[in-house]
Amino acid sequence: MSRTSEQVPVGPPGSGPLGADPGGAADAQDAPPGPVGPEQGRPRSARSGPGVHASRTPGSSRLRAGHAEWVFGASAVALVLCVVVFGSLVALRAPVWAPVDEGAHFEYVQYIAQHGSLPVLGKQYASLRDLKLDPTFSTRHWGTDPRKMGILGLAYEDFQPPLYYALAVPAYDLSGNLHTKVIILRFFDLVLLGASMLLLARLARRVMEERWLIGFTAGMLVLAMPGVVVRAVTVSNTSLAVLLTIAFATVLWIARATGRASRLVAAGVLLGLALLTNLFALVLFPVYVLVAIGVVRRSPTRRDLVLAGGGGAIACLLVVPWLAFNLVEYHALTATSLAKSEQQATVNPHHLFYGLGFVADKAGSWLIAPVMPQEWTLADHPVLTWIVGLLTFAVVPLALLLGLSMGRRVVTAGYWILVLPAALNLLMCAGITYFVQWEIELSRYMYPTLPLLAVFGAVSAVAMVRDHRLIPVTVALLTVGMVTLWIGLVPQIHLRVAG
Amino acid sequence: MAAVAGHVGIQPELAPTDGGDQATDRPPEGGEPAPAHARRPLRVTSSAALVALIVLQVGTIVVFGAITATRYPLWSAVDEGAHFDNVLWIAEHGSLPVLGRTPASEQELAISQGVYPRHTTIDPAKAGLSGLSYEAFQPPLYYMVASPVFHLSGNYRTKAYLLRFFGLALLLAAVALLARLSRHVLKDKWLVGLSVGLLVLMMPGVVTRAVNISNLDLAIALAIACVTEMWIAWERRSGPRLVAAGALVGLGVLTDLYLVELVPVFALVAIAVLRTRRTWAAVLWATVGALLAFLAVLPWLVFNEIHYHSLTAAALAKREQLAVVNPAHLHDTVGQVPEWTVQTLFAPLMPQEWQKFLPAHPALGQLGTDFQVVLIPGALVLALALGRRLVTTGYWILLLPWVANLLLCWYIDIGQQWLTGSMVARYTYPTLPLLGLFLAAAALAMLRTPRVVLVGSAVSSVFLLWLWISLVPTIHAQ
Repeated sequence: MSRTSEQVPVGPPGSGPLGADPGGAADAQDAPPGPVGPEQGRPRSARSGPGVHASRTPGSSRLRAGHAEWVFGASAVALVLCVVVFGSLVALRAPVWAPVDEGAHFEYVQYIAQHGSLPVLGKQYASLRDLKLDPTFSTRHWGTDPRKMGILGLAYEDFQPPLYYALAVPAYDLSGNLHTKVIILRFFDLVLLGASMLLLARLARRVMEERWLIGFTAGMLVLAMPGVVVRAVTVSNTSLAVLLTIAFATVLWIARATGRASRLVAAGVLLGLALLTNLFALVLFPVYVLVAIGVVRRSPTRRDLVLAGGGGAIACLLVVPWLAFNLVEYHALTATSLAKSEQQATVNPHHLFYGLGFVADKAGSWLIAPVMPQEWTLADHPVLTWIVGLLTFAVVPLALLLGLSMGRRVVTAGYWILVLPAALNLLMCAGITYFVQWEIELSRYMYPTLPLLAVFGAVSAVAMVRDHRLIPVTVALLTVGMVTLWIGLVPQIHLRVAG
Repeated sequence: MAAVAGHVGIQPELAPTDGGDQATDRPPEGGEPAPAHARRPLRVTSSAALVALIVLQVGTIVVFGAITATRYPLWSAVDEGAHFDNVLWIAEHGSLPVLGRTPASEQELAISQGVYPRHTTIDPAKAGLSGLSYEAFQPPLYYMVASPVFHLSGNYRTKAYLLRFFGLALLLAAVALLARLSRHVLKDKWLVGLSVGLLVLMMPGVVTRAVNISNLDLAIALAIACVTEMWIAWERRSGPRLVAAGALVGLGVLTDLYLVELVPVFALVAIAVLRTRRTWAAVLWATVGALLAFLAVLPWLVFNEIHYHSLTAAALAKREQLAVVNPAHLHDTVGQVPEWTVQTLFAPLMPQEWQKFLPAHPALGQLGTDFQVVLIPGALVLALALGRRLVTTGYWILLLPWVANLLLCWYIDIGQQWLTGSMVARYTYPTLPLLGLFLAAAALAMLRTPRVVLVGSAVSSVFLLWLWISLVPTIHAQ
């Protein structure tokens, strides 16, 4: 397939610039009344092309495009500012430690910085100095021996792949003060989130070409969500996982669109790095395989076959040293079963069985409700709760609804590259909860793949909506909602979660 | 016929686009013709799927409406007994009850106590609000219409169930009227509009309130009928239709005072007609319509004036209910309106008494939130995006009743300080089906293909069916 037909997936050929009505349908609605003939009853797409533009008023079209561009631009700036400003506030004001495992992630970085090697799960304990960074920590209550503190005394994230922690070591070393180290690491994560924004812009540009701002704004609606900002900024491997997933999807999109197998090597490297950051990146592997098959089928040369296989091999090779380490230390490829048994007393103390009903209930609620971080509640803020409902709907269900309506175009135009990772991510979370009986159906595990889903939502919206105003109006309202939500949340950023 | 090859609908030039009257084929003067999307027939597969979907939706209403009517305990928490008292009084005395002087009936109290057919031990004079026929201030039309049904049995418990099934019949009449309205608004695509409008009528909140005894049952059907006449009047710039619309507005207000929100819609439609047809005949038709609306309500207003020295007994009713609705005499402020609005008026899915169901079922709760987001904020976003087309296409006629409804609720809450007495989603049920239809019409105007609306409607229907199935085990529990 030629590059043109591949790379202009949104709207019919000859689509106007940002926000312009590609089929001229909106103009047709504003046209003076006339008799309804067969021509009027015919779908617009049937006669799309340069001739459609000739019948429009260029000035009004440019004006509309300008208005829409302004709305998308302003929304994108507002959302980027949300991430930077509120991300900084979270980095500075969120209590040390954030309730979702921040201390354990920090311990991992600290161990590598101090020992130059990977920690071993079960042999490594939290340091008392680190625990005391939390002003509510009391040795009178917990004692002084981390071995007797339950999960609080364990460095229970040591089973994670090591890339993020290794990369964070230089940032850790920038200060001698422990509290400052935590803040620096948080800002390091914020920088990674900033890099994710840049990569998101690149992905949107590749997928949506001249309408990239729509895709970028949609993706930013995910990256600016309080849940994503809080999880990415407080110390954890989430920020790097988000970045690598977006980079991987971009390279893979280019590989598919251009048919260049050499890109598959880069994709393979990124896949390996993503796996070395977060085990959930396994969901990207089938996507790589499918794209590689597509590229090789299009030009079945030996070189392409080697490059496609090489990319996969590099992905595996990058992970091999860590797997070997695990085999030596745990006699298993990963230490997840040990991690599960360590965390069981806290996560599932009564050894409840997670049945299919439970899995479906959680998948239908937590996994597709990613706006808020776990530790923040909005029980007394009905308006903010309502805004969260709007944003939640816009990010996941609306994208899925539009995607469902696109039918087989999702496959033929390659949009599946954007939606498949999120779908597999969801299945993986549900699968681990049911088959491994480790309850991980939490929206934070979806964060790396959600920006891709948002770009998919934008693509679907542009493909499905013919009105020139609907998308800018929706984006503007959602942006206002996001900013309002953040402003409403500021007073509780510093609050410590009880229990 | 060519249509058979590719389309299930009759070709536009042959189609009776407004139910038989060819007048609608002409674009209205000063307005726009129906957009091209509204004239394009649907594919065979889409139409078949739509028909199947609508059968499923109507089936859901009938089946779960019947289950609710039979299994829901007498009386429902939301004033069902007091509404029953109104019907009973009118049926047995042939006159309207007087608020403050009419106690709750012996039979209603006995049924609520669970001792019927034996006598109740409750003394109405000492039973507070429940000893009063506290809905006696309501306009009387529904209760009068329900009187013949009341007489069908001698057993008062059976009478109550009969009245519930009468409510279900009125809901099905509303379905038929919605189909008619959709046909006028969306022409060949009326099935799409109907399927979206039916989502509202399928909601547990609407079905439950409709099969419980209350004047809301008739108000829903009348609001739809009234807006249909207004739409036709606007579309054809027809004076005689204004008379019918006016009469229906009057009957609507005579059923439920909230339907006074249709008055500004009627006025705007009349102005639109008069702007196009500057003739004395048109002025006459509009005046006769308004006069009929007024005359329909006049006898009841006179009755109120005689008994309460006021046009309505709302102030007395508020005083009677205050001890229950607002015992601490709290004062609602404008600042509280947004939170009440999003918490209650924007959340019409569930009936008040089952509000705790969704939080206990996380997946259903999330889907319920999504459904409500599509229904109300979704419609508002589409209205904003429509811009001036909201006016030129006439879709404002579908949207404005709900907006006026919202404003009325705010006024009663803040202006009258009736607190939770007004900010309750059920008061918007008569105008919500119109909002659903607006949603469909606006979405069809803005999307390249109706498939999104179809898929959305199908997914929502499956969700509502799932919700209803999940609710069945709790219907019998108060």
